[in-house]
Amino acid sequence: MKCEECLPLIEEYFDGELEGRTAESLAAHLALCAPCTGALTELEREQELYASYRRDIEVTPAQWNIVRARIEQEKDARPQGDQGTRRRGWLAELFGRQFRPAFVAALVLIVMGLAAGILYLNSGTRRGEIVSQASKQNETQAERRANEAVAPGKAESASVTASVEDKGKNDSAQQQQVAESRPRTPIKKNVAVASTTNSANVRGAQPTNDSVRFEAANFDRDSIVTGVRQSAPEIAGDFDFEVARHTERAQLLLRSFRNARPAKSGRAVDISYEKENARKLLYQNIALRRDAASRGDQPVAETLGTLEPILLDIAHLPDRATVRDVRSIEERMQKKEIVAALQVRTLVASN
Amino acid sequence: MNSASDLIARTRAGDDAAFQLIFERYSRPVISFIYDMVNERELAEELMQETFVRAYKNLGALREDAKLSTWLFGIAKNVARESLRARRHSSRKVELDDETVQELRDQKLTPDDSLINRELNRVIRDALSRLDEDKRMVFTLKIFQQQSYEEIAAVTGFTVAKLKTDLHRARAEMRRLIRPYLEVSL
Repeated sequence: MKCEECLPLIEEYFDGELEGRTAESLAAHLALCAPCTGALTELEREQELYASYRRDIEVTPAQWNIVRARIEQEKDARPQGDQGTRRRGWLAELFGRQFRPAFVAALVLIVMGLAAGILYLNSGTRRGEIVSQASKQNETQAERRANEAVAPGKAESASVTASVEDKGKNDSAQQQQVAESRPRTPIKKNVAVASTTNSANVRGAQPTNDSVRFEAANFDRDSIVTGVRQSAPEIAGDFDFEVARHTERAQLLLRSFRNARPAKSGRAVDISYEKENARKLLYQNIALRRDAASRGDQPVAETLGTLEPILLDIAHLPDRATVRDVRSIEERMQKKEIVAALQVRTLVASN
Repeated sequence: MNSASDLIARTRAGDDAAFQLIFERYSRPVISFIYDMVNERELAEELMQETFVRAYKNLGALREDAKLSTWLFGIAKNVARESLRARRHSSRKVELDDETVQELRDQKLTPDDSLINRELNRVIRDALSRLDEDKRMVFTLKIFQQQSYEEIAAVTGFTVAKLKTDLHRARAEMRRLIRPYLEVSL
């Protein structure tokens, strides 16, 4: 074998990809040829250098937790798909034939239209009943007031109790309806809807639903103190929603911050956008962290507690920060694995 | 007991602990490969997670005779390529006059091994990021992941002829960029 034949094959030989006679003759040539042996030695030296390459990246248990959480999500999503398949099978089984999707869609629309019509007719009848009941109540109350004028204090407690009970029933039924139709509606809207329907349907009755008023008062007071909705069993879903949204925004901010690079002309990094966002998120972070602590939701409180000083630091950087300052925050982000932690919280809260 | 085929069979049967073992065994090479491809730490972490979620979802489609590591690298390649494609417009390729490269070129080596290693790591990373996508993929799979030509062809979908050419060119380009360090290590 000559050098011109050997050199094009030397990498394959080094990679262990040459076999049989070609490999043997190349090895025989190398034993005699110093320049070709030099080329092989260079490949070996390069390989040694590459073998010492260390990446500043690690696999942490937090990453497995994220993968596991996402797999669980997939598992939860899968049965729904299966049910869909089964349902189609069941329809076909019942009617003994396969239907075209357009036919099924038209059928569904007709059924929905019929159902809506029936509901509308029913609600009209009920509305009439409620108005007539209310007018009867008004008449009764007028009679009672007249009686009270004759004998003050006598019928008062009975009247108030009856009114509260009647209205309590109406309110709870209506609230239930609203809650069922809008499971994630914030409580303030629930209260507003409940009180509006209440005053519209039961004219003349006093607003005596204490629980509704108590919730509304609680909501308003807590909003003033913390700036966010506070814990009430009905809004547990909203808290998770807020946490998921907040942690997602925080992730985006931190990623954007991490990708910020100095302009070629200088060493300053323009982080005015990230700084502005950090300020906005900081206030919500404080509120949500307190909220989580008051609910006893330790994992959320801890994650937000770790995030807070980082947001604070970004918010206090100058618009054009030095590379050193930015890197120091990036290192802390990496050390605390905050982006991964936020990702977990987003996933958990959105489940 | 815990061979790749056993772990696959157990995972298919619903044993999540088996999939965790697959993750523990292969996550490091997978994340290294992705990191070499995208050159961004936290993005690499996310893409590694995505790779394993996709692997779990598609484990049923893995052929009996396929090698698990090759199959995982194949998914990782797709995930990394999708990400690179998505951020192509905003990607920052390291230019010759880039500040980092200038700094490396200007700085004199010191006898401090750790410093040399740190600098070497940065040089290799920067040099890798200058290779085009195909060359980078082939180079990483061969040099760092020690995959055979046949396995690289299975992962990338390239012909052996193309990957040999890409690998040769990638080696030459890398050699040129790390030459000062090769001289130091003599």
